[in-house]
Amino acid sequence: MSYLSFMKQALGNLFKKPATSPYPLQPKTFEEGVRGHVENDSSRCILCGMCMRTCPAGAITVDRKTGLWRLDPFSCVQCAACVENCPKKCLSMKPEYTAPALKKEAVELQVVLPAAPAKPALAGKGPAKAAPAAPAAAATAGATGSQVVNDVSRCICCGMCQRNCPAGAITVNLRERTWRIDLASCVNCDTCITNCPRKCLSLGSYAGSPAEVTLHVPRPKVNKAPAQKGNPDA
Amino acid sequence: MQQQFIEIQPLDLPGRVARFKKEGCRLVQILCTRVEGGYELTYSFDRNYFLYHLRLTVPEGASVMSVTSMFWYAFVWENEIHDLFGLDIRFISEDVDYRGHFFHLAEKTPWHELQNAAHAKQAFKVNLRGGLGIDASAVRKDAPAGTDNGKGD
Amino acid sequence: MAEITTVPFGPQHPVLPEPVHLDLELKDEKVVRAIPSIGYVHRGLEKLVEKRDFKQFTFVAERVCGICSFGHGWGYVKAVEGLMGIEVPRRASYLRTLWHELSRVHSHLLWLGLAADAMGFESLFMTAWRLRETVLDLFEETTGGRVIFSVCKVGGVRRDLTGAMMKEIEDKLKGMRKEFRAMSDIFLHDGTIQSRLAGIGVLSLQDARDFGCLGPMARASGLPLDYRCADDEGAYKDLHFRPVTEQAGDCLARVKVRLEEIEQSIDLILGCLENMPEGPVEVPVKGFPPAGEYFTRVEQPRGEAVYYVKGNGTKNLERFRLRTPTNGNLPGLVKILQGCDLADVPNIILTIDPCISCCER
Repeated sequence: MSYLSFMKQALGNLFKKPATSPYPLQPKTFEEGVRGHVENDSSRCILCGMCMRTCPAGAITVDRKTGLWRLDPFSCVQCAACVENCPKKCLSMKPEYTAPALKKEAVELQVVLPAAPAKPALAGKGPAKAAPAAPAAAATAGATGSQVVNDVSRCICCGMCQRNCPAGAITVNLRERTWRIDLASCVNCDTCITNCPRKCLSLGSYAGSPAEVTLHVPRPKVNKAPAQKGNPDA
Repeated sequence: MQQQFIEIQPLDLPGRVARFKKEGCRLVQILCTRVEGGYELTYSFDRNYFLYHLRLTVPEGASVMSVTSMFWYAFVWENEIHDLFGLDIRFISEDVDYRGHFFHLAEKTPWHELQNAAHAKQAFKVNLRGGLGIDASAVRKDAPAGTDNGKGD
Repeated sequence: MAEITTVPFGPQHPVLPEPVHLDLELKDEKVVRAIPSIGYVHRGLEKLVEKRDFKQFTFVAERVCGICSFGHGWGYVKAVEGLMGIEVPRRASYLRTLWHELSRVHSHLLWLGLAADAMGFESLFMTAWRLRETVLDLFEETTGGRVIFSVCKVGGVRRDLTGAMMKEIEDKLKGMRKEFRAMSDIFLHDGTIQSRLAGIGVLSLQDARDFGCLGPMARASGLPLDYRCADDEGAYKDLHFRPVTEQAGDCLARVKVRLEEIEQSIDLILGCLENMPEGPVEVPVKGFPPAGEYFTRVEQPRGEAVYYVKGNGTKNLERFRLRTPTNGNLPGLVKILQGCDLADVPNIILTIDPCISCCER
């Protein structure tokens, strides 16, 4: 037992270089992959609001009407949940920490959404069931477009799209075999497309640019009891 | 995770706890959940890494016997439950009954109110800040009959 | 005849990493009774489950404490996975074990520094924390953050380790080991530390059982209580884990247990790296936690932590409860403070490794 056991280390410390670096004279170099701050590539942003909904700290605000995407970097906890959930992958986590500042300032971006086809006034949204059905025009799966279309020949009315839709734009009625989408509410986040188990949803376009579309989903063909026997479909 | 839940009545609590003590179990934790009409208490005991949970429901206004006579160290959780939930626990050992002064809080019994999530039958907005998205996966008021709602996956 | 004097200890005190208040009733210089009270860092995090959905709550759970952060994140996702019946891939289990053991190394090194600082041995405090920087740099490289990792998620982990990263972890830990052993010798053989810690705050084996002590505090008294022996999710059963125990039960024995656990953790990490299985690191999670409840446990650096979740079919859990090891060690602390000198009180409080943010959530 000695009382000078630290002597060797202490003498060594006199001659070693310090363990600390002279920050801020020598700036800190960050490794790739460090969670520092969130950046948004506004040219790809579609203002779907998924980041706003996922953020556990409530640091992001998205306003579709004014085209504003706002991040408060001093509320952000750098968890990267928004980056993971962004459907267009426009958010990214960059290594540098937010610099200290005298005032908390937010990052505000104006996002210009690509011009959508002219939509009729939203008066048609009220009595929902009165919207005209457009069955055949919708089955343009695979065509380029920015509206969610449903290939009803594959749809099984499971309702996964309705459950996952963050904007509540889709309604599925198993009994009546209808699939309805409110295109005015749809935020184009593609969550329904990703979650569809039968891969019947895709991006396409509807003729005539309706505010909402109701599709009838035919029953799947089964081997026994063919439908011509007069069984009602619903 | 090896565990077993045992439902008991509040009056059986001291007897059951004494039996666990005799078998050499250690008290792991005491948990309180606010449910409609009262509190749900869970006492967890461990022996050889197997957890036994005693589950009892206490109506509001009723009181529970303390187990500090058998497990002295339960006073931490009993005082905490008393301070946070307002549940009356009787006969805590004299030297460790802090009578509401164990947990320094700005308001008394802050967790006494029923939690919102227990009533998740209505659609509710996730109110992080005003104007955020609607939780479309809860039951929607305008959902037509027959829609497949609310199932896990 | 000596009177009882009451001296308040805390909530602000130079040796305390976090605020806890103890009213010490003294007769001359001996403590007769200690009355704890907590609530200075109570944030009501358990109640926050009502407002954050079950995936967002991972980030809240890991912020319960900065030192045991990974363990809390892991415990929470383990509980939700148990509730939902999700089995994570083996590679994810190994990665979680690896990060958890690294977390244990950093936590024990932090504590060793604080224990030295409590005695006034500041140079040793700085030495321990300088070693800890190696571990924090590894965390920054592999998870993106030094203290809060945000790497656990329901269904697996969010990041993977490349071969180069694994080699670097191995090299850095082996390099750190040599310096760690030099520092460890000082803790074990220095005269000042022996006189300040040996024979102080003795907790016998029977007392450790009677007062529900957990973690290194119990293991230093000879009680081999370590949940890693029974953990079926992590990689521990493949790595033949045995708990570290000492018999003396005093403050020095607790130091020895933690020093030995650092060595053991480094061995466990090297074992994980060697046996890391290939495969995915996450499974997709669909749907919400069903109505039901689940208890799970994790062996944190300070002891066993119990996580409870109760689901109700919606995206918000109904109840989340975390019983932390410091919560369980408080009665033991109150007991060993009886009969000690006032000058030894800071050392004794530190030997339970108090993590009051965990204790109060």
